[in-house]
Amino acid sequence: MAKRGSSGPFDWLRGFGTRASLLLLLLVSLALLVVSRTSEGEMPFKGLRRVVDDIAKPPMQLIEWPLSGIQKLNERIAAHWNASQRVLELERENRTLRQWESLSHALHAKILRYEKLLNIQGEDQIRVLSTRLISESRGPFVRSALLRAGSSSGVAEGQAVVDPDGMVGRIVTVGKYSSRVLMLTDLNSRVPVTFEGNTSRAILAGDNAKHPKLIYINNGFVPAISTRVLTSGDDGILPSGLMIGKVVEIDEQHNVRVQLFANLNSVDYVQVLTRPLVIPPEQEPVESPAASEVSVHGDHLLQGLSQ
Amino acid sequence: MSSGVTRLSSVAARAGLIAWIGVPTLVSLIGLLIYVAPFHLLGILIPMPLFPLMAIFFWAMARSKMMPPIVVFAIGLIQDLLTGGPLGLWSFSYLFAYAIMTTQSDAFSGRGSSMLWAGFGLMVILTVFAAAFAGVIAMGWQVDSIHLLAQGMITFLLYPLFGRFYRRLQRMTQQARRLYDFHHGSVI
Repeated sequence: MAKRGSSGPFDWLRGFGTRASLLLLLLVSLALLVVSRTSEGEMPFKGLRRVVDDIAKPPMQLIEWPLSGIQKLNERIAAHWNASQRVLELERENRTLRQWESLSHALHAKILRYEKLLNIQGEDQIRVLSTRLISESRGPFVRSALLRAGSSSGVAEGQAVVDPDGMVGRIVTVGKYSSRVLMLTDLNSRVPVTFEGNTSRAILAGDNAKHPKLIYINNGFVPAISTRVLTSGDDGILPSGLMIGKVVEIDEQHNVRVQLFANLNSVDYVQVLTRPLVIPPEQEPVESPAASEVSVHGDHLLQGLSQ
Repeated sequence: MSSGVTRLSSVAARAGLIAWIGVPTLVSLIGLLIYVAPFHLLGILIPMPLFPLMAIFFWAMARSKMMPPIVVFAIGLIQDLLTGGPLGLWSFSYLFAYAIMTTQSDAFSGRGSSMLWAGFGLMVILTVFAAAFAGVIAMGWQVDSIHLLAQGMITFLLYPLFGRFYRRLQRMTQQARRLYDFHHGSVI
């Protein structure tokens, strides 16, 4: 059966046009891929991504609403399924946590006293912003998620994103009403870390595997299994001491892998830790009133000398 | 009064034409939004099916005019932007599979649902292969190939369900198209 409209004299040209556009678009896609490769470490087309993320936010919220309902129902059924066992577990956990709570109160009071005695300066005031994930990419290439809060809520690039169990990732692009968090397991994720009970530094690097690896561990330190890994805050953006995970694997070449405390497969509500950026003194703007004050003092000094 | 009725039916016919053209794109975009929606089952990572691929295949086989290359490119590009991945990855993968499958459309279209499903299987294999290749170009050898294969498999298994839904939509849009043709006396 002949297709309708396929007998025109310029049909070969129309077919040629489709094929040419197909080839052109394939080449454009390849060129975009090459650009992505060459700009390693820096996310290209950030402006375009910001705009698309902001545009996608309202429809994403519409799609997410029924899905989160199904998810809650599913969680409720699962919770009901092993409720009695869960109650026993929680009671045991509660007893342990009460002991830790009293200990942490005592330690907190002690730290405050020491800080006052030593007159420690420069401690950061961290503000916590709770928000929800509205889209998520856990495909074979990227581990990222879109958050409902953007620059209008004080979110900025580089800020840490945590859930109640530990660090989840950090902000990589910020739109006005949305922002994208790059998960710790993503190929492009790099976070400066340290270890509990040791001051050695390392970089936690994602490679799209379930457990990210530690690279550039300094002082030749090889952590033991179950050593806790925390943020070091060396980049000046992330706060120090955020819980990340524990060492679970060390192979013969001393390649170390970390199991994250946060379960990235069930993250829904997260907190963005917003912190004032520390500006190096050489980059601080010079204030003009101070300069005029100096000149006034200088004039007085000159007058004093002349007298 | 009759001119008012004519105008009204003309508006309805135009709406029908817009539906005929826009439905495949809209369905692909909704599929894309579901693809990136956060959905967990008992805290287990379940690979999300490639919903846009199902729509692209269905309309490329049923009526390729309703799914031109530029739309396939745009869907892939939006997927790259919404997932935060390297730009060009999914647009290249979808276009590559689309380019091969449209040359073979006569072999699959109008031959029953099982043959069409087999055709979709081929489309999935081509897409997974192209995505792995594009992933290597953009990111080196660090592609989660198991996840990619699982994603391809789940997409293939779910196609009959979505294919049936798309067929219904296709019938509805064809009726809208016929209304437009009847009103304007043209055949495309």
